[in-house]
Amino acid sequence: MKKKSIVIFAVIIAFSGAVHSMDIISWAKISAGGAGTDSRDAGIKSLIVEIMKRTNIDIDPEIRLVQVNPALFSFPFVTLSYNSDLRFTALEIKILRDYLLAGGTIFIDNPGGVRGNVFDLAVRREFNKIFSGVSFEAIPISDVIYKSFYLIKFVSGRVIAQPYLDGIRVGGRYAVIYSLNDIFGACAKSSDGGGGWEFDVVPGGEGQREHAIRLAVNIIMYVLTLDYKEDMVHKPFILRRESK
Amino acid sequence: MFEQTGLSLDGYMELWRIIAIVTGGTIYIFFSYRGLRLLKVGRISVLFFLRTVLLLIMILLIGEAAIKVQSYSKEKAKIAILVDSSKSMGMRSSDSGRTRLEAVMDFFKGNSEFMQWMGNNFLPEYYRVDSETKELSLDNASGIVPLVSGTDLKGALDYVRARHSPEDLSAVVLFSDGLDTEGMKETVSSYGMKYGVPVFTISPGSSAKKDVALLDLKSSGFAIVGENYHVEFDITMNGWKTLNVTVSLRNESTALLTRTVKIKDGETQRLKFEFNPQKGGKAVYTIEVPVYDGEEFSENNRLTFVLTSIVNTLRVMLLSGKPSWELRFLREAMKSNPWVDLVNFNILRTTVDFVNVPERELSLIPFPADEIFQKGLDSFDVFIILNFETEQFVPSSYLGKVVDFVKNGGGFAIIGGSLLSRSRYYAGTPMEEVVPVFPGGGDYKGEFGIKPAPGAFLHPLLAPFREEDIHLENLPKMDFLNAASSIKKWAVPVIVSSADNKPVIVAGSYGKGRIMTVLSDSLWRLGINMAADGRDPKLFNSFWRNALNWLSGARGMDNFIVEPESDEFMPGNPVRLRLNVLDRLYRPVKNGEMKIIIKDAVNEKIMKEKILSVEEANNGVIIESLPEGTYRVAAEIIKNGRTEETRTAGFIVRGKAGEMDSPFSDEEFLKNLAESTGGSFYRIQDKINRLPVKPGFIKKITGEKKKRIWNHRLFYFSTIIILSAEWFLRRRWRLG
Repeated sequence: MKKKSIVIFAVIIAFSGAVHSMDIISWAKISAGGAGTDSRDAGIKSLIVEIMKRTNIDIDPEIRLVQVNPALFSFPFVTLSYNSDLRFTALEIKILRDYLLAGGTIFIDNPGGVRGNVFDLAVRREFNKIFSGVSFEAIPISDVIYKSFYLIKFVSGRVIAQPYLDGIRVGGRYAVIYSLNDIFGACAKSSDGGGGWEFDVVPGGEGQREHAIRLAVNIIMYVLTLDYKEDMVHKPFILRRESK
Repeated sequence: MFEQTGLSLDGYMELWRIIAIVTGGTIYIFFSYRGLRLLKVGRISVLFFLRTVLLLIMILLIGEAAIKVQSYSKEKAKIAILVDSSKSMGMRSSDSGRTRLEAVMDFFKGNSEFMQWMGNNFLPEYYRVDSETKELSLDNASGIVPLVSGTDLKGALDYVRARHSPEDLSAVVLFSDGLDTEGMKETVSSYGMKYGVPVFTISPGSSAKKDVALLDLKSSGFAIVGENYHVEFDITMNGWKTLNVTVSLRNESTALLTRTVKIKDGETQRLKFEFNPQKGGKAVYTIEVPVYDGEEFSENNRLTFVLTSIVNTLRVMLLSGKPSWELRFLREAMKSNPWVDLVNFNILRTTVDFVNVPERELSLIPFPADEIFQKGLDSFDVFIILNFETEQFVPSSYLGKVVDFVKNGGGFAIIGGSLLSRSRYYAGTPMEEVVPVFPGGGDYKGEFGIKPAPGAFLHPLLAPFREEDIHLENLPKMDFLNAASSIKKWAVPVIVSSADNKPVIVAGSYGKGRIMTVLSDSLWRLGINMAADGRDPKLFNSFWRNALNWLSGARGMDNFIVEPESDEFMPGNPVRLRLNVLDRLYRPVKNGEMKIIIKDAVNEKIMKEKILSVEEANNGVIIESLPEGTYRVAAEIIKNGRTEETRTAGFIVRGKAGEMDSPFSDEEFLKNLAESTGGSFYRIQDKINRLPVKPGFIKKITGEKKKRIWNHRLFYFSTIIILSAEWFLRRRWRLG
């Protein structure tokens, strides 16, 4: 009952959230297949602050919850982070496919940080239904995602369950990006108001946390600028810096 | 009067009868021979003879044989005199000062012995030859003015032969410089061998001793802007021992290339010029060499060609003030367009952002304001600034370059957002001049619908909205609108907000360029949001594909077009111009005046001027009688006595290639033609009293008489006698 009322509330927010203001990006989470209520909002909120502090991107601090229905198309970028099983309906699968083909991007962060956990299995199974026969592929460290703002040489998160990001390519870009390393968890500030972090980051400690934030910044920058850093004009600079 | 006698078979001698008689007769003779073969040879011969005679008598009987007596007269055969009267025959000889045609006429007048020989032995027929062949009276021949650019010698020879039987025509005499324009040179020998009548060719000689000529231009006529294009041509020189010739290429008055070539007397060199067209559209190019001392003929010192340059790749510069959805979808729209070469700079952080790492760990590069504004802008077709505040990144003085860029024909698009409002639409900077709206009022931060502005439905920017599957009443809602207090007079609203007609997209022409302002940064919703209800999310991409074409001044997207119906016109033919004058919303204009000025593209001399109504101009303009040359037409819209807008186009008036290529007669061609037909080649100054051709005669039947023999008694009597003799001899020689 509680869950149902939360979903109805989320739908109301989603529709009202279709109105954005200018060049401020809205952050929306998918509420579908049972996901959406217990994901890492604290991590997302901290991340939004970090992104706005470090880059020129403006993001509305209010996190919107959006159902997989036509309202989803007002949010070109949504995240999915959940700790349980996930099952999309046939209609949701169709809408998600249309959304991704039309230019939408989904970033999935596995808060469990364990390969093969319930959410991991669910994500792989359900996204295989969206693009039948297409499964996640490892995003190589040479990809532009790792250069879109910071020059990143390794993948990070609260844990290092997998030393790379997974992704599904649609029309020359990664439309689905999947991290097994609980990036939002690494970014989450503790709720006690003391300014500390909610979770420890293992095995690399604070350096690993910083790299997790950088990776998250890069993912958002990639979503907004695509392969901008692959443009010829940037290549000599990036090569020079990478060689140092 | 003469008579001739012959046998005539006037009976029913249809083909089947002849075949039946011949077949029957052959079988009869064959079997009769078999029946006789036991006899002695002499007896066989007698009987065989009698039977053959009988067979002949049968044929004469069936054929109603008669003796025919014809009376006839003998007439002289014809000789065809072809006089080349094309333009090249108007060239003057440097020695005599006469034109080639005058030299031919003088030959007719002065060479009485030849004319007498011809008159005594033949019936002469005269023809004039240029691009057509016409009969000529020698009395009027001196009045011919050689004006026509084109010489069809094969057509002339075919024409003459078709008018006569081979016996009727004894010879053809061709007075010509041999400068055929219809490609006969390649096939002259094979053609001559089949012609069947001897052709005697007489050259009027050459017109100059010294000449530099540019010939045989090869140009495909189509180039791609920014890519190398080459033309090839021959340069040939006669009269100097060696000469350093300066060959130059220019586009109207702009010099593009110059090369000096060392060339020897009588030599021909093939040259190749390579250049890089910088702008799309049609342009007239000229390759030329100077007129050197002693050179009397300069028409072949220049080659002209029209080149249509196609913008294969649009070079687009996009500057974005910050990452946004508009940027993300605009980049994708451009990157998915194979015709767009995008250079994009985005401000990813400002001085107030704290990146927490040394520069070397960032992929960011400094904003290259110098390179963009001071050096590179002119190399782009379209310049787009998206939600960009120039103050932090671009010195104000640089922004004048954008104004120059637009005035020189560039496309400029401004896309809105909070930073555009903050910059007050670049008020107080030089770029203010090319912003089509004035700032004012507060930005609108809520949902609103959009629709075509009143009267703007035909504007080319709205072409994608005219597609059948785009339901205008159901377009996705936008969510931010930069406020504009008013629109500048040179621009018009193209898309407005549905509820209160506030401008959303404003467009206009400025100088030679085009400008579009999108007063919102949520146009991207025309893409992904269309897919929400199952529609194709293509509208955003197709809007931008089309907008880039319009901004870059793509062919057919201008509201004022002047273009010649053809790149080249023949001298003497009218030059037809197509005009299309539309207002700023691309609706046909009916009122107003237009001035058409035709200038010589080389010396800028005004050749024709015409004032007419815009409505008349829209129906097409005809310019009569322009001499050969390269021209530039300027069409000007006149309002209140002032020229409001001008468009120009180039065209060429020239005759057939080959007609005026050289001051030298093509005597090799004339020799080949004469020799392959069995005739001979002469020069007009040779002493030609007669030609080596026998006088021929044509029999003309004047009467005919017939005397029937098949029904004569003697005929039947002879038959009975032969039959009886044959029967008698067979009995006597004991045959059955």
